[in-house]
Amino acid sequence: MSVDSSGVKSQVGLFVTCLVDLQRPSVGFAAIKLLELAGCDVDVPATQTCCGQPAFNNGDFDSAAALARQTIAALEDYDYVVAPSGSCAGTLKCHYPKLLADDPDWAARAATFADKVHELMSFLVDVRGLQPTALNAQFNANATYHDSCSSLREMGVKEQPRTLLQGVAGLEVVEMEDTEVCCGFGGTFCVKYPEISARIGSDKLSNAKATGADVLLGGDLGCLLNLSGRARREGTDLRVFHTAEVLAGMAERGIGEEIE
Amino acid sequence: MSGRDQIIGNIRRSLGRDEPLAEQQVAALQSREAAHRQHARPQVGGDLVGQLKKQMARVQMTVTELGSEAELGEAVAEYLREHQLPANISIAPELQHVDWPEALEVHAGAARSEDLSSVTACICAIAETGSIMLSASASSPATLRFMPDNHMVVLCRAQVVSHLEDAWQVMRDQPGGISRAVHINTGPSRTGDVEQVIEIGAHGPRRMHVFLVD
Amino acid sequence: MDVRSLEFKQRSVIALDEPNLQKALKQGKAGFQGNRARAIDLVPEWQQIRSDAKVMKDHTLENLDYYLLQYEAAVEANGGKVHWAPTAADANRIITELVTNAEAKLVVKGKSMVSEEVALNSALEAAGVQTVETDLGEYIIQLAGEPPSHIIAPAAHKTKEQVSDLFEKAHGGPRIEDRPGLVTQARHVLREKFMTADIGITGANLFIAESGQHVLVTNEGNGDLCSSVPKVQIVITSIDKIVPTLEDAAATIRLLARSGTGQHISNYTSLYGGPKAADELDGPEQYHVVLVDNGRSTMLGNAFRDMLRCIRCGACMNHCPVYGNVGGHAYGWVYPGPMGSVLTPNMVGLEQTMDLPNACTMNGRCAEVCPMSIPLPDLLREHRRLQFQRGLGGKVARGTLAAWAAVAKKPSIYQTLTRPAVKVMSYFGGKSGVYKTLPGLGSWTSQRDLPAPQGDTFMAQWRKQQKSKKS
Repeated sequence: MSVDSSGVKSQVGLFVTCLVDLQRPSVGFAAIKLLELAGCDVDVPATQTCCGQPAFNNGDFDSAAALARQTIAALEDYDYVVAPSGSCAGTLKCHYPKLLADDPDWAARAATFADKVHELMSFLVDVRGLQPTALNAQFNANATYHDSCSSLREMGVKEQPRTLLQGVAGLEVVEMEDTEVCCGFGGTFCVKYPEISARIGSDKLSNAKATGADVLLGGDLGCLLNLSGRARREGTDLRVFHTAEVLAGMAERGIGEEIE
Repeated sequence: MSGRDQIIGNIRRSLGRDEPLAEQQVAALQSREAAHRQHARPQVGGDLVGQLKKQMARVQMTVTELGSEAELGEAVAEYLREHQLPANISIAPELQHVDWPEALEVHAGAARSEDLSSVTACICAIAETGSIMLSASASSPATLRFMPDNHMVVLCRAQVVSHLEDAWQVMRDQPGGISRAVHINTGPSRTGDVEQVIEIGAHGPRRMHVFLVD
Repeated sequence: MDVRSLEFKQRSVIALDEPNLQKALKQGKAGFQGNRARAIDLVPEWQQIRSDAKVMKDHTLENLDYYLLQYEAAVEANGGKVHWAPTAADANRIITELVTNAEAKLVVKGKSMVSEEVALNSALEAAGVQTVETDLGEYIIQLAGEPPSHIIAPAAHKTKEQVSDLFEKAHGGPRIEDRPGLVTQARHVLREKFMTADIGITGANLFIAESGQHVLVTNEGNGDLCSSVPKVQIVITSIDKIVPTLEDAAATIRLLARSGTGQHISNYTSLYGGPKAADELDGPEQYHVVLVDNGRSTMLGNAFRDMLRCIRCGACMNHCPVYGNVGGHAYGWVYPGPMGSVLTPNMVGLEQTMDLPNACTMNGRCAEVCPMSIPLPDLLREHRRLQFQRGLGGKVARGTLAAWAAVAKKPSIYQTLTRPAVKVMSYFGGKSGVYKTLPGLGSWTSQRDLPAPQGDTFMAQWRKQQKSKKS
């Protein structure tokens, strides 16, 4: 599965996302490990930064469009563009074409680019056919999985991470109530309306705890930073990881955990 | 400028044209209307009466099956006894021909505020939703459907149609055309306005009962 | 009604700690979401019904002038009268005139969100006319002197005990505490009003160009009593509620109840189209429809046209995590939740409603459940774009975001600046792995800890790896 008929591997341009770059590089390295396991050559062009979503969602469409052009130029020559985040991938795939629709030089490029963009989990399963049995990971835990909104609604991610998690030895996944409900992060929402955000986050955490899980998994670092930070503040005993870290066997210190 | 001209003018500006639609476009809209252009709808099983009864049960409507309309008078009297209701009814004038039992006090006409029970006919029933469709006229006053606590409806099996669209056709085909008030009633009156718990009998009937006749 | 949307922040924070409201919101959310999901599970054709309805409504809006005029002609042929109200003030003036001309003393009203939008009740009150709301939820909040907190469940925020208090005060004792008893008492009190009212005013869920009928959907039957008992019937609705044909009405009716309450159809789905015939024994002698624009014809020509497909089912707010935690009053005007946050700025101005488009996490669930496929998050983002364009909003937030964008537009500067910052933050995060407070990030740390970065940036580590591979 790893090589096409001409013997050339698929070239994947990884869009790391700024949160992973700055906060949690292990998610990026886990993504690379999984993509290589799925038979891809992975490159990370240095001319990428932020996808522009904060500007876009705050109404600054000009800045968002500038970042869209930069991101497209950095990644459009690869066979595929993969991000370990549904919300950043969603910006690249669903919103760049709209942002650049009236730009004669970029509209077509944005549309072609959008076709290449995938969220990591759906790329691994839907495009590369990665089987859970191909994983070599052990993680002893009861986990529950939070469906982050953009992954679910913009990128069609639902069963793929759950399927792959079945291949992790020692891991049991239990579904929580309202798993498809927002965690309260919402980008700048969480700092504009911290009290509402915190309440939504607390609801999510109590649903997660109600399953008896000791670990919360998800595919978007924004949600995970919010939930782990809220869990620490509340004193809720829940370890938080990005799904890719667990699948790659790289889940060591959870997000916001103390250093032993 | 009149309010009408203001609104229509602003609408046209927003639609990017200052003029009314051209003749050709109007013709297209007219043919859309004439064709009764249909939309997707839920499937309804083959047995219309069976489906109707199933849907009516979901919304707390009760049904008594009768052989013919000749049995109606006694069935109404029995219903009143069963529910310990006084032996008087207000009926739609369309049911004056019914052979009502002597023991029943019958008033034909619009509802009065003290009326407890009414009996009316209907123009069709809709299997899709378990609804009764009633049309207002001199022989079928609208208030009988909303004021009394108990609304009894006579429905012929042949009046059961499949979907809302079929009921529209029945409505259009009424003698005299569509009446000023057509009601699609689906179970007793209810409210969820106190703590979102359903209570039966808010303003309209507390019971809605169907006599199904051949 | 006064616009209090600028108080969103304060009011939402208070709402979060209001125990009665929180209890009511939890009940409502579970009921509405569960009932809707169960109803839709029974209809495998749902997505097709939904997309047909969108096509139908887009067609209607594209030809709105034609259909409105067709409707007016049909109503007149039925013996009714259509009145056109470009603004809220026009609507109130028209209705006040109708009521005064009829020498009416008592008006009974069915629930109408358009009448809330134009603040009809206060206009009638000013004209010396007593107006009684007859939908139980509306009646409750009228007694409480409050606006609705939900478009289909106006008293969703009230507990049974609060209703008991209100009824005891309004109706006199003895105090009634059980729910059926409260409903029965309201039935008796309001029945008396129906019998003595001179005029009935209701809204309309939709109206039909082909037949000149309006469709009124209720579960209580109060709207039908308003439409059948008094001598004069007045309908107040807005121009976007029109559909061309009865078949088009069916498409909408199928979506409405399932999306709102989870019923297959509401108990009373009634079609009215004119005054009573001469030989009829009941029914109104006059039939008036007031068509309100109030900004809608402008929305037709801008980025908000999609919002005119809205059928006011309430599904968006029933599935909104923000509404679900703060309730409808925090939004500060008539329409709450996602649909309200799109509509309100269009009606009362962006300056009056700064928070509404922003108090949304962009989670997209509202658009997913919207029966008319309205892209609500995109429309909220469009408001944010307009706010940005006009320079509205907090200077600090704008400055921070602008600085971030400026840095992100220069990858080499971005990498040069972020790496030392990440290293410092990681170092000072220390053993605890989180920050409890951090200057400049108080809005984050007021509610949550901030996880410290792992160490170095990804980009720096990747560069190192690639170098060592090559050497």
